[in-house]
Amino acid sequence: MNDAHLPQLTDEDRAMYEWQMWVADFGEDGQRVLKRSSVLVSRCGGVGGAAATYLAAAGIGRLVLAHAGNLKASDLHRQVLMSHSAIGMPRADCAQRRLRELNPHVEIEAVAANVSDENAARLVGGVDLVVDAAPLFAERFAMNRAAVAQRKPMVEAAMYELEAQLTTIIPGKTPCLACLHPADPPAWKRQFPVFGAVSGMIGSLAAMEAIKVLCGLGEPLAGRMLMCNLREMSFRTMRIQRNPACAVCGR
Amino acid sequence: MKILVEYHAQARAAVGSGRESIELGDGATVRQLLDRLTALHGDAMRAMLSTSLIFVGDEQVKKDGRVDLSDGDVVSVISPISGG
Repeated sequence: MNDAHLPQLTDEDRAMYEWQMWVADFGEDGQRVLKRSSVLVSRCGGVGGAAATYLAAAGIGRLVLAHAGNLKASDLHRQVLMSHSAIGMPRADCAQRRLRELNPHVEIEAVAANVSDENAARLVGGVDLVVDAAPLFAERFAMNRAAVAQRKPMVEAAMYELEAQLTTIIPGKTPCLACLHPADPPAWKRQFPVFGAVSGMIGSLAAMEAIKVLCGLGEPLAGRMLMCNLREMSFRTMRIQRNPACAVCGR
Repeated sequence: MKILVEYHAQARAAVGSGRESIELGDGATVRQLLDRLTALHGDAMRAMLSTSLIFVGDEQVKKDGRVDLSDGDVVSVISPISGG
């Protein structure tokens, strides 16, 4: 690895990340890559909040958290990055405060807006990788278009009831979100049944996937979709296909 | 031949069950299976299938139906879901 351009680790870095640097194919070089890296987490709710927590704990250099609105009581069963005392206050601010308490060395930009066509290009352009944990297809499609246009990898995490899905989009190599879902599914509703433990599980896996892609570690879910059925505790990896006629990434 | 259909997420909620067994004639295709599911479960299933991903075993297949099915195949219907 040509590491001349990577940031050095401090003694405190070495103390904080000691256990993960014991991972043989990660090590100090991997930690330095993470320290240099930046991730946009779109919505820091049940899924994105877990992803952001583990990315911050792992020592990512910079996190951009995009999430509009104020915290509601009905968020708290899954949005464990938030706190009860913050009900009625901006979610992005609460997430930023809590992550700073966890790891003050991570640079955190809180954006009190959801990703949209207006801000997607700028937000995606400022980071190395995107974690899409948003509930609405319109904002996911906006992120997907920006990520494909800028050739940025995007980890896609989703959940419903006791099920969850995860895949990693590598523009030009794997299916993009629009290959899988060309249009807004009319049956999808903003509010849906789910357990908080389901969102935390898939958000944690999304963080691991982001770390793998950033550091060249292991085999990301590129062109594969992990299907988790916690009702049966079954986990399957399925192969997904690009759509040659895709309006976003079609060849 | 017998095909096991597994429903995920909202597709599971629409059917009210996680899986069902479907009998089809030999040489039936994915398209014929999807038509049978629509006949069984009505317009809600038609709408669900139009936006769902379809897998035979662990491989995604197109819904235009050129893929032949075999006895014992497991077909998964996975409706789109999101974060939150």
